[in-house]
Amino acid sequence: MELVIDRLTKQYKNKIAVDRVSITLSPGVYGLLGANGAGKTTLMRMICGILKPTGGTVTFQGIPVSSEEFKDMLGYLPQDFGYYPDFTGMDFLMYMALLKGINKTAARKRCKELLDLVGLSGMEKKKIKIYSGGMKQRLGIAQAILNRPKLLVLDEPTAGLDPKERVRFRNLIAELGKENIVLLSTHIVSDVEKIADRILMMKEGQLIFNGTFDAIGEKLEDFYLEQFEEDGI
Amino acid sequence: MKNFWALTGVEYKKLLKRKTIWVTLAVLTAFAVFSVCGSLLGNVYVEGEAVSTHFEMIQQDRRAAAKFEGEKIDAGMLDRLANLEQKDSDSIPTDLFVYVGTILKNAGMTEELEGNMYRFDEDLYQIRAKALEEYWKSDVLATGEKARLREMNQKLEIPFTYHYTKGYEKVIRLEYALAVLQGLLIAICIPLIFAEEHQRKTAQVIMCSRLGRSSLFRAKIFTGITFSVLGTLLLFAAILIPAALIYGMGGFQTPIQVYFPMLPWNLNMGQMMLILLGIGLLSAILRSVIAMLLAEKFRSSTVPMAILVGFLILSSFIEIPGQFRVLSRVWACIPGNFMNAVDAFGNKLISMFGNYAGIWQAGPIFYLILSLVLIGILFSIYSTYQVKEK
Repeated sequence: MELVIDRLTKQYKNKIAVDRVSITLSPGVYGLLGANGAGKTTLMRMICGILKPTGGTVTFQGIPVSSEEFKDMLGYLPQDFGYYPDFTGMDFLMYMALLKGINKTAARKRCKELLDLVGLSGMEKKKIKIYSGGMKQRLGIAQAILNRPKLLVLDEPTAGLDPKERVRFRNLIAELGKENIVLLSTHIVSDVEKIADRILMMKEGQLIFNGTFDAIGEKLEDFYLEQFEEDGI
Repeated sequence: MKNFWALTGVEYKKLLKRKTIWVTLAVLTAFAVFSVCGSLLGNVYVEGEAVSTHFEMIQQDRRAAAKFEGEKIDAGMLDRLANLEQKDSDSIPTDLFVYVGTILKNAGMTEELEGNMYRFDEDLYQIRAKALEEYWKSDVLATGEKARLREMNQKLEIPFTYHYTKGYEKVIRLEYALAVLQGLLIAICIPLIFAEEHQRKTAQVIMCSRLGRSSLFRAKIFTGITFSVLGTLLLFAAILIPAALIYGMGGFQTPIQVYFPMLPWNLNMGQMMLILLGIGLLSAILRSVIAMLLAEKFRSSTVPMAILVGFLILSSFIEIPGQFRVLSRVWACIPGNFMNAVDAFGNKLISMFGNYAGIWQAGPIFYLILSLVLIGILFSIYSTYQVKEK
């Protein structure tokens, strides 16, 4: 199982948001780090097939990401996760399950399972508008894994989660990463430290680092700051 | 078509959870009811003095009409009307007064309207035929069109038989009001179906799902169209039911010429009402598709609302003269005008496959074709949506 990204580029009028990124991902957890505007979200959107690249290709198990077949294997949590305020948590998950092609009966069972897994059981009948930020984020994570995706793309998944929720999330991701490809972007270096098998760093649209912790040889945060020429704390 | 009905159910749920929808439906339904019942309110004044209420006038008119129910509008009836005009003009049904008056006015016989308008030398139907020729001249019709209209007119069974058909007439004349209410309903409610996904930023996760581009699109289109059609039926019922209660629904078979003397079609009032309802439902389909297309194109619900309401207002002020043949016929086909009896059943004909068809006959074909084309364009925009927002 491989996600092959070959010279992927996204150019806007005055800016190259993603600049000829090439990488092959196999099962495991990949932490994508970079400053704001580095191109992480743009890269993730192109991987998910919801943003057309200017150049290059992305294929998953040989299947282009623009195909409907690929969508069956994909789970995506965007950075600005949207929802319907007057829907309950269960309503929303059921809707997402239907969109992923899961029939109603199987969807109901799976949604209950996931609401339990992300710690939202008891809240499923409450409207999303009363959920806290962390609860909404957990709901977003639940919808991303509804269809047991082989490729899970998470853009800032731990934003809004408290420390206890972050630990729970890390355990879930670690479990998923054993047999699937998980790509998660974050500003929180400690999240990546604890769960990622490989680190990817982006700067000004380019992939400037692709390696393991062992290859870094120092604290990840220091290494990260060095790459972006920030003063250490 | 996987999960189509379940997805449609969710689309309806999304729509009906919005307070805007319910408030809009309630307000427009109230307006529809008022458009019929409003005429009951208040008094009739003669020389500054209230002589009766409007409701009493309607009842009096019904009683007067009952005395002529089922009679042919011929020289005998005109004689009776002429006698009544001298003795008791309140006993003349308004319908017959308007019928004769419209023919005389179009024939340029306005001086007869001031005197004894029911006595004249010529046969009324010959006067009508002359009035039609004048009417067609003013519409700048082609020779072929006039020939077709003359042919249709000659096939009408004369003399016409009078029935009190005020209920149908009221509903038919209020179809234009229905067009306005329908336009507002669609402009306010329908763009949300597509715009909401952009406004709430749910489009990203939807587009990543297997059924997000195809099945969901079909569900959204189906929801938009059916909601518009059902909304139109609700507004139509809000006009029909009060009209039936106030005026009754007798006279289905009355020739349309009794209430619209200058029209040539061999139809009765019931058929005209049903055809206009059908036109209204087709308008609902086309308008809803346009609303959804604009919403997806502009990724907003406000812009389509502004465009649709703006066009609705503009179209009520603009009239295209008959000498602009193509433009005047296209204008007669726009939803607001198409639902107006005078435009839909008017004298402007459309040349099709060597024959002439009325706007009410040709219009539906254009509506269906245009709706399908626009759905295709909408799908193209929807399915190639790219998430560019930060």
